[in-house]
Amino acid sequence: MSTVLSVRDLKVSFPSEAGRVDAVRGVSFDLEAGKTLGIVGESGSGKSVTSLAIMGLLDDNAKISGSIMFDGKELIGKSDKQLSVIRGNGMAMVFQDPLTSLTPVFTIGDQLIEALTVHRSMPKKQAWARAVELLQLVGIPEAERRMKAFPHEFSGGMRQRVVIAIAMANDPKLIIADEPTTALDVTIQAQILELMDKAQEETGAAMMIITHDMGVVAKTADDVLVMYAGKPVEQAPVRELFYRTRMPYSIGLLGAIPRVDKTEKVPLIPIKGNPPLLINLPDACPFAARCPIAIDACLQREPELLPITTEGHTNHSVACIRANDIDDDGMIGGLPVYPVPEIPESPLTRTPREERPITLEAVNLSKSFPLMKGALFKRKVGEVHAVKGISFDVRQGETLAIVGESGSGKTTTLLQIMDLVPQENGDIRIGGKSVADIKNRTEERELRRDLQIVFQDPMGALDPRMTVWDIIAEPMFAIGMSKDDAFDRVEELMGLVGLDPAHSDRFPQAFSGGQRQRIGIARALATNPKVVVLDEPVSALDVSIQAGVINLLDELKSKLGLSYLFVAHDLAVVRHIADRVAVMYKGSFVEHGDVDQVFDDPQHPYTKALLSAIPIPDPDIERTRERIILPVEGFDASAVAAN
Amino acid sequence: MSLESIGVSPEISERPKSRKRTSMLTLYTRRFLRNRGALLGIVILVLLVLFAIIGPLISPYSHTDLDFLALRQAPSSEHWFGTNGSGNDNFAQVAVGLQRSIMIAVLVAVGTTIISAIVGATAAYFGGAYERIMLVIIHFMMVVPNFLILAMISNDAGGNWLVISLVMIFIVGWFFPARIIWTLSLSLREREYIHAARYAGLSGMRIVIRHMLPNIGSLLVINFTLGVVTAVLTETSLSFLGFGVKLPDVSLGALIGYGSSTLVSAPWLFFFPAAALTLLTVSMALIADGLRDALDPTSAAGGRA
Repeated sequence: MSTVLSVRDLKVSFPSEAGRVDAVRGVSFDLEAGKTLGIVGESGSGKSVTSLAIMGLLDDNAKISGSIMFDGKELIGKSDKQLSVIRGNGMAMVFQDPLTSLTPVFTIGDQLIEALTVHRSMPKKQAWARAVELLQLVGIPEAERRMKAFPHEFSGGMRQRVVIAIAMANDPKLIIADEPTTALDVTIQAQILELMDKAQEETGAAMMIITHDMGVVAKTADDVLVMYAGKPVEQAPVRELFYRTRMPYSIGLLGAIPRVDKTEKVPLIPIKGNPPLLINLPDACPFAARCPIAIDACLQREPELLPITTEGHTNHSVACIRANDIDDDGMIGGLPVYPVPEIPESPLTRTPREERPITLEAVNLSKSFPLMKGALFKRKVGEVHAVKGISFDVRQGETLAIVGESGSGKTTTLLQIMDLVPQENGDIRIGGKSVADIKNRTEERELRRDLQIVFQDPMGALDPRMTVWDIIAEPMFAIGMSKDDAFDRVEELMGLVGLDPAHSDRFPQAFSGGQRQRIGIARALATNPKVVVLDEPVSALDVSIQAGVINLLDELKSKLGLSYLFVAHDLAVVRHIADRVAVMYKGSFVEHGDVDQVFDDPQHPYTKALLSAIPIPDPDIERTRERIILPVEGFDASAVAAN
Repeated sequence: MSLESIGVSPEISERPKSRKRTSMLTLYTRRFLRNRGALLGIVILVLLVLFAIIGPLISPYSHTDLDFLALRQAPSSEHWFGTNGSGNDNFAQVAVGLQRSIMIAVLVAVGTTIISAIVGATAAYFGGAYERIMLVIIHFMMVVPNFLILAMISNDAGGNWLVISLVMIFIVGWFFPARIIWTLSLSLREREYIHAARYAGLSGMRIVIRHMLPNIGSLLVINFTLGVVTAVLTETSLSFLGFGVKLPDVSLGALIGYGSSTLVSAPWLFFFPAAALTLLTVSMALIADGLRDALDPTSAAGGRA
């Protein structure tokens, strides 16, 4: 095995108005051919900048120092032209968003052939043949015909396959994948990860996978580098890292992820606080402010990444002065590093489900969009059924989760409920009141009191021109609450969701992502609703922040006796938070029932495929698991009867 | 400003006694006043307005008085800004002309901004037939030769400044900004906070006024300043062509038009009204800059209180 890439003390900084941003502060690693290095970290940890620095794709204003040896050649200090030759013949990159990494005006074939011929001369015929071969290799059916297709004719997963084919085109020695599956659905993600494995086998390349998903790391990586605030804080082979974790940050990351394979409900462990700004960092452990076991010595100087001996007897380095005190179970001196938060038990759970009142009921909910044709006079030529007659009920104090991949109709279902659309052959009832009975605006407003929503994007859901106080108070004024009551209520709500009421006249920009989501939750609770609709409330947040918000939702549910209608694509989160779950596929429910029943004993093949596709953050389980992979295209799981 | 995140459920130590909250208005004022340029703009504008109001009162001559002993005289202690060929006192004329121009400009700018904002934003928010009708009107207005209509009507009205202003609002001013506001509002309508407001039970008009208009605030402010400038310039062109305000009424445009023909022999007749016009537009631009920064949470003020 030869070392393909050797990085030593890589540092990258950018000038900014607030001062110099030290995005990467000393990264070193070696990568051998055929091996995979996983770089994990939250947003802003410097993992993407590291990969861009290796590719030589950073802006001119970035200051790079250290050493990057690729295949025996030093890359730092080379001109863009020289780098371009090295890149073209030896490195390939797979980007996050397959929708924008292909040029829309050229055919797939043209782009593949360009990748093949730009750095080496090759007869046209041979290039064509090789391109077709590559497409077949990445599993695109009818490759010959698809060569002439344009990117927009391909789905997201298919496009990522083409991107991988292009990456493989020149037999690279190194493939860098920057969040290659983040933009994809889980079943597609499983296929793409499988494919990248194959690509690596085929080319024998070294691979760098950058991701925030511990499950993906557990599945693909040989070695793992955990980054925090621009610096590696823990580096070890994958099993060592997962089973003999030593750095409190890594322990926190692993504890913060909900597990799809865990039955018992334990509260997630949030890491308090936010990552530091990378400007003028003091000479102290950057994690100290968030670390539950920080001591005075942590603030004296920044700890180095030093090797540590564990029972695993492998190369394991940690940047923590207390690493030797921590044992394999994440305990220090007999106590867990992270104290487990307590979530109060709801008195409602003692009442059997059937005896609790129904708060939200949907009967035969349907929605179809007309297909229009004609430029001037549009006529209807058909219909697309986005939601095909689904029925469900949510009872007091319970969470119903609707899971499905993009295009399954879950968002349309939500909008039907939130818009209070009268149904032709069905009904939507909120707290027993049917939407068909709404005669005027006063009655509608009365109904809206009981039904509130929390959105996915914590930034987009808050009006940037309004202070937090105005945002939270808005629903109260809409139902005609007096200003004095509103003052009390805003204070109460901000305390309830864990924000300081003194910050109420700040604007949303002054808050971090997790805090903004808390503001959104406070607004949803303003009118004391019975049902809260949660539209992917945590999918835009980093894992350590996500855990805090999930715990808050759990706590609020038991404290206030709320019902949640939870829409998500992340099954692990659903398993953690939901009582009942409905799996949606192409507009209808293919499976619907108690969460444990559905997750432990799935009946429908689509549910099975979905569950098996989720990477579990545990390398041993993840690598021995049997996987049900859906066929690439044209598969219709709804046609397969449930057995 | 370091914000520390708080755990799942902190205890609130004590309730703040006072119910005072920084209101949006005080917040905006505080931010606006921090801006040096904006303050300078305000000072210039106030001085101009004072000059336009007090000038005619302290001047020994009214703007219609003719002093046959002083025809086309340079500025002196008798006539502070000089006189023109007919013996009119230039100081009084500039003051009255500025008064007229400010009135037209502010009326037109406020009118067009309000109409274009309401029409553009409501068309985007409510959609449907209302949106289609509004767009047809806007597109129709865009192809009509507005300036000709304006010239004809104002000539017929005998140069009445109020008629000119109204025509400038309804025939010339509002539809280009309205079209721009419509396109911007279309993307705003799909923002989640607009959905959130709708699901909170707010009425359509309140969503437009409370959420959509503030979020295109910087555009409205720019529209307003540009509106002031174009209104003054349009009125100037009209008067220059002889279709604007008629004697004995004067405006800056009419004065500049008159003064430009005697630029060499009697430069004071051009420079005084031209200086007043320049100061007016510059002060408006400075104020607009400050307003935009004060209203915009993402500006240099950075959402600070």
